[in-house]
Amino acid sequence: MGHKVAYDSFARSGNTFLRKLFEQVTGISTGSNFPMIPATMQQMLGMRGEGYIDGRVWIIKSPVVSPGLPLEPYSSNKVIMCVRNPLDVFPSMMQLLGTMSHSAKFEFEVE
Amino acid sequence: MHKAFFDSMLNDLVVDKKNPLHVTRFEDLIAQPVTELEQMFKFLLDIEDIEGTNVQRIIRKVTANKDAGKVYELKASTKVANSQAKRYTEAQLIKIKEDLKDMMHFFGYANEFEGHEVNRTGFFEFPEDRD
Repeated sequence: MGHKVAYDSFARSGNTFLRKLFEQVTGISTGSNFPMIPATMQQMLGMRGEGYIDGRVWIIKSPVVSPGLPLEPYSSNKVIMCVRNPLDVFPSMMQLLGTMSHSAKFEFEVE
Repeated sequence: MHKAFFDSMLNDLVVDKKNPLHVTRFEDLIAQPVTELEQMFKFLLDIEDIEGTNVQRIIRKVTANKDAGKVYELKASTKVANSQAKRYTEAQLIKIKEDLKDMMHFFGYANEFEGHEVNRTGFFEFPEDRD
């Protein structure tokens, strides 16, 4: 387990859900190469490894939809990916960007 | 961007073989978490048989908890297959099917026709598959 595993998935494809399962099974925090400021939302959900890519973490999430954000490079020797029906991905992203919350829902129906 | 992402990933990881890749689907993770996690940890730990191992015991213990994996409450619509399709116009659906046709087949989101096993995630129909 000395090597790093890159977790490369499109946003809103179940990333945080699977990361939490990894953490519960291994007891090791999952990391990410996301800049610290936008990572705050994940940290508030208890993702303690958010923003870390060093020896404190094993599986490291790399965000895909990150226009303009400086992502810290790192090396990996394996990659895992979680895919999801794209028709479910984009409305989920809309909810996230509109509420800045992983769990909140709009108080109105979106046409 | 969605298509470019998957094209890039599959080229780097499958064609160029820069890193071994394991793919799971969110729909399967929700429906059968034990199976999916066991497959994933066999890949991560380089083991062919997970039967009787400590990691298998922990996977089963973790997934037996109804709150497994949750850091927030999953929305009801998250657990309903293809629940968001109603939000797209016909033109958008046509565009998505055109752009992502290969990926829909590769990842199992294309409907299988007669003579094939029923695909519960066959959300997209490609009439040309009948031929």
